[in-house]
Amino acid sequence: MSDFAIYGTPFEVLEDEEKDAITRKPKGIQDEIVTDEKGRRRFHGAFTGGFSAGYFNSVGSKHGWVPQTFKSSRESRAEKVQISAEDLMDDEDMGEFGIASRKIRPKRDFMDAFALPGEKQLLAWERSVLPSSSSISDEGLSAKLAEIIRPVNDSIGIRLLKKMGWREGRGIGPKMNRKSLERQKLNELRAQGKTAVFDKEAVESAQEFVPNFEFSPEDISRVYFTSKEDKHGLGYVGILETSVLKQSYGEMAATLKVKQKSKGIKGQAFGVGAFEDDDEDIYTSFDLSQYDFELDSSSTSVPEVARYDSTFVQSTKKSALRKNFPLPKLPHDFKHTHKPIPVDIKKMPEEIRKLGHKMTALQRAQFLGERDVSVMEMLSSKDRERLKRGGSRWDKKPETVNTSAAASTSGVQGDPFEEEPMKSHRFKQYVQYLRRGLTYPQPIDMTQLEWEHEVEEFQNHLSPELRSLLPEVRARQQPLAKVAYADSIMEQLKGRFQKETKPTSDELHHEKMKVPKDHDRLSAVKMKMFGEKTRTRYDWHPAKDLCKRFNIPDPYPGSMLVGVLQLQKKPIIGKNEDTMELAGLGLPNTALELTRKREKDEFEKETQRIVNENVHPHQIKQEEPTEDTELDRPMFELLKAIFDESEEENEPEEENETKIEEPIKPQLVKETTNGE
Amino acid sequence: MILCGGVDKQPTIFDVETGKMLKRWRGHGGTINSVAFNEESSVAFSASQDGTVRCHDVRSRGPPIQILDEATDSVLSVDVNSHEIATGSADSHVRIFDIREGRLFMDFLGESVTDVHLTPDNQCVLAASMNSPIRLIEKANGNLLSEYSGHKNTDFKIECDILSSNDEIVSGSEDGQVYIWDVIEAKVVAKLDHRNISQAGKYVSPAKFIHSISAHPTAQSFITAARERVYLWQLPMEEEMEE
Repeated sequence: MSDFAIYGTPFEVLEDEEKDAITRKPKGIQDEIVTDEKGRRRFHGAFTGGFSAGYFNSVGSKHGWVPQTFKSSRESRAEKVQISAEDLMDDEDMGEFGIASRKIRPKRDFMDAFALPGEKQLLAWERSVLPSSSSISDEGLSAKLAEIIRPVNDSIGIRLLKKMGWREGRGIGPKMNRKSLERQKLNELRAQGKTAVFDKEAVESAQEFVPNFEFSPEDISRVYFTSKEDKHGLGYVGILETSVLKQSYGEMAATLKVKQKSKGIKGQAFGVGAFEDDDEDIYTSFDLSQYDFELDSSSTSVPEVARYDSTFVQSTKKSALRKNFPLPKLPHDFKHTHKPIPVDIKKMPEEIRKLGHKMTALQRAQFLGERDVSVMEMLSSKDRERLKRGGSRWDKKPETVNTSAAASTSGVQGDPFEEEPMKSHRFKQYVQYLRRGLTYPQPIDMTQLEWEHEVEEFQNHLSPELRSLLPEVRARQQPLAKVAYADSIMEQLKGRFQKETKPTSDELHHEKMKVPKDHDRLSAVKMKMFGEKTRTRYDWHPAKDLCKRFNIPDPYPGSMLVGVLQLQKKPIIGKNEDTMELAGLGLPNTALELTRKREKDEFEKETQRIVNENVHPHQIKQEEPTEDTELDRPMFELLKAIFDESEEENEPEEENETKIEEPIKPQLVKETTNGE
Repeated sequence: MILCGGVDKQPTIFDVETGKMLKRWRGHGGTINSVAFNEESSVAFSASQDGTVRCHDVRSRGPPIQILDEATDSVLSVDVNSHEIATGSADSHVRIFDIREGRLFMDFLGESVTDVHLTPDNQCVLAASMNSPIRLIEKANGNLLSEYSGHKNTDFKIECDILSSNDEIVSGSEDGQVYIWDVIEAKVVAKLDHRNISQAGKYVSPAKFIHSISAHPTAQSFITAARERVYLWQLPMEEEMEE
């Protein structure tokens, strides 16, 4: 061992415990055991919080609840034992954090502290007020007052301290000189974590003025708690005033600029490009002289505020005074009511009288400006109808239908020009002509302008159905839905609804028989009554190709549907399904409409030829492919582009097949294959 | 061409001479219960457990020409003639699709329909259903013309057929016998027992269920199938041969 030279200082040899403490892995949370002060294990089992009562969650002691000694014999009866709450509590409850903790507190002193032991403690109002009741002694009034007014504020500790010489505001402890006091202050502040500086000045001044005075230590500063009244996080402090916008900051920044060029305390790392100059820093350079208080501050003269608006100039001429006119003088018999002078037509000249002959009453009224509407319009519709009918006010039959409404629904044109028979006649003629599709010629006795006006008026009075007959309207009229679509949609819709009324004969064609209830059918079957009850009929649309293959003419050539309308199910768009039927309607894709129409026509032509003439189909087919392929090609390309996945399944089969199968074509489109 | 369909859900066409597969279609959702060709063999029909009957163009590999999906349950059999398609379904309906008229007739039979046949006279349809007699139904109005009972059909799909003479109805059964009825009188004319057929000393397991029957279109003979064997029956001679 002497061969070895020992370097360094060896580790201290630790006790076993310490060694363990250092070397062992940190205890897992599962290994931490709660023990009480005696080292006994508490909280057995899976502890999830709570408290344990009694003797390890059981009764009061090792021996169970120790009963009070019970004795009951002839001589000594068991006393009624009063169990207090403290009997059932254990050490824990009576410990520091228990529910019945034993700690020493001063008594509440609303009792008379100055009362002598023997005296009865009286409450304030119980003391006799009248001084006369007590004997006058040396203490006299002051003593009585003292009896009434007793200080009750100080606690006993304070009273004791005061007796020992303490005063409010002083700290507790031995007195010391200033220096030590300052040092103590410093220590305290540092202990709290605040930085502080030893106040030398105070020490020196104390030295100067009161060299040997002993200072009492500083009192513990009252901690004033401010309650939290906001919802910010704990310790949140808003923007401090010492921010960029304050003047002092600007000053500070300006001062910290060591060099003219240096950036000072502002940074310039972000936001400014290499080739650009920074914007003028307005926040740090703080100089009031930089601000203008007025525009155009170069001119320092204060301009005069004009008394009058400078756009106006005082005129040189003086305008004349307004002349006051007096009120008109009224004749003494003036009455302010107006009496019109009645017109006597007989006194009128001949010409004017003639005018009136041609006019109807209404026209005359309009001419004179008396009345604008015909009398008929002033009546209520009911009365109007009654008049027309020739009925009287006393007719009791109630009007069920408004005749004008009835007229319009049944297509009958009401007569709007009843007042003027000529016009009414013309109107009726016009309507008749319109119904027949002819144009009513202009009557001779009317000027063109008048006639045009009248025609316009007539047109405005037409019922809607007649209006549709007008040539202009007809030209504009286009069906909203294409017939091909409309029919199928109509069929569909019809099928979806159950008709309430009895179907008319042409509707029977499309009728869907109500499926009788199951038990009806079953009973029919049981009774072997097949036929009506067990049979249901539907219109079924076969696919075009199917008809073709069967060599049967399509029963529904115009139909785009496949299957039964009423039983259309949702389309199954599976992975292997190349067909995509639009939900329920079986309407074709608009893109394919053209081809289908064309093909349909061709097919019909074709079947005609096949059926009637027995011509070899090859010839016909030869023509078709060329047209078809041209139009099919772009279509196919388009569809191919859209629907990629079905591409691999649709290759042209054989060389002589010129058909191109469109991927998403529903099975309605016929194939332009050669016949077999 | 032979058209066959099975549990693989793919109707397949084989060439008779070469035995090669010519066509195969995918798309059915369930096993194929029955197949049929149309008269010209240009359309292949397959009826499947998924409730649809698919009509495929024999010459194309693409999607079916039409899918008849009106059935609400498995379609158990399909038969086609020159202008009509008849299907029988487990939803107890016989559906006759008339292509010429563009109509669908649905006849409710009360029980799952296991087999349908369109009669050669184009007037009636023969329908066999579970637990019920075989019914001959008039196509035009759905009236019941005749019922043939005596056989047993409770568990399996038992087929029936009408013989080429149009006078006899033949049907399989679950009791080991093939029943033949007279069409008009509806009486059992013959019962062909399949249980005791032996073959020259070799043990032959008795056949209890004769599930499949097919009649020759012109000659007076028909085939029955039971277990692993097919029997060819020829009427006038009453001889049978095992194949």
